[in-house]
Amino acid sequence: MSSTPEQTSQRRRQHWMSVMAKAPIEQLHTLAEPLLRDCNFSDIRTPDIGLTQVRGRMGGTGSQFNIGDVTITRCVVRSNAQFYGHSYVIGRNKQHALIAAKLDALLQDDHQHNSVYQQVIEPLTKILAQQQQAKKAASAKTKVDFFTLVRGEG
Amino acid sequence: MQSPDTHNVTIAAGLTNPINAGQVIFRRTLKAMSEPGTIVDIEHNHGAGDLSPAMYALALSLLDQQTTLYLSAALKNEEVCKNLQFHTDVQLVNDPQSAMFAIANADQITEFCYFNKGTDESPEMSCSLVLQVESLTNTAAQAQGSDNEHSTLLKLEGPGIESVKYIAIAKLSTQLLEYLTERPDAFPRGLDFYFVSDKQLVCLPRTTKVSVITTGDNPCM
Repeated sequence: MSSTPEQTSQRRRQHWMSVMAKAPIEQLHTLAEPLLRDCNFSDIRTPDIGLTQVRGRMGGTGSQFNIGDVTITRCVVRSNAQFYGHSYVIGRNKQHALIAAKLDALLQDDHQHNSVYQQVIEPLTKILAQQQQAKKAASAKTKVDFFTLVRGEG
Repeated sequence: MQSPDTHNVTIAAGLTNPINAGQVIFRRTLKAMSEPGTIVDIEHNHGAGDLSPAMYALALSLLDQQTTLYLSAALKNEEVCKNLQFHTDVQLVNDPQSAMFAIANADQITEFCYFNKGTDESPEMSCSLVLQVESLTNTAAQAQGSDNEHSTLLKLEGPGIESVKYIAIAKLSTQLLEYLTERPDAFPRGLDFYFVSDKQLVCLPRTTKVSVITTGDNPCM
């Protein structure tokens, strides 16, 4: 299936926004600090905390139901190069949302994109993959296969 | 969650501390509305597009996703719409009848019959008109009112005013003056007015009796 350039760039942005939102704040902060040190941003929407409803499907296939509400923190900043960086992060860590929004603005800027991507997004993707792997391994041990014994019919 | 299409439009910063700043502005607006003719300060360091700083700050604290807003043709440009929608998620409407708030310039507004005046049972459902003006001056005495030749000096009486108050507002359309002085809609129906300059706000609710003392030399049409 072919996709338009807009769809491709949208997908790429979704990827880096998702990585930054899921990343542990300590690592995100350490990796982003050197990049953000010399940049100025204006706060368009200062980080604010709200609720959003999460929906899911039973087993990933059934019909949708409301799982519950989660707190999210959102933020919008504008970089000096006039790029608007957005972020939506689960939880109530305003610092996390602010860093993610700033990096989103830099990642949209072609002059900065590669360095930011290599220094922040790639390492974070690896960390997330490792965490995912560790979680899978831990839960795999507890997996139980159910089977039914056939009762004799007499 | 949708992100606005920000191409070619500058999105101005919102309130720095949305909750506290919004509450301060709302409290001052309440004071202005309950004491007609009292000028209150609405401070903000920048406007958005054609909206003055005070108008922008007032809009951010009054509007949300449940309010409907009518913008006059002069102010209904992409920059104003995008900024208000981005920060407040307000529903913009083209029909003044369905608007809970209307934003316009005071020297350009001429028609009032299209706005919702509320009903006898629920007069609170009427439209609030938020009008942008060049200047507001609180004149303690009637004689001092003629310092600005473009201003209209109004005498105010009614609930919330101890005896009488005077206020000079720059550039009001003749139709607006006519509406304010004649109040053609039978009470409790009617429109409430907010007049907003660069940094200040004064309110004229429907209960205030307005009479014109002097009009500006060049009244705007």
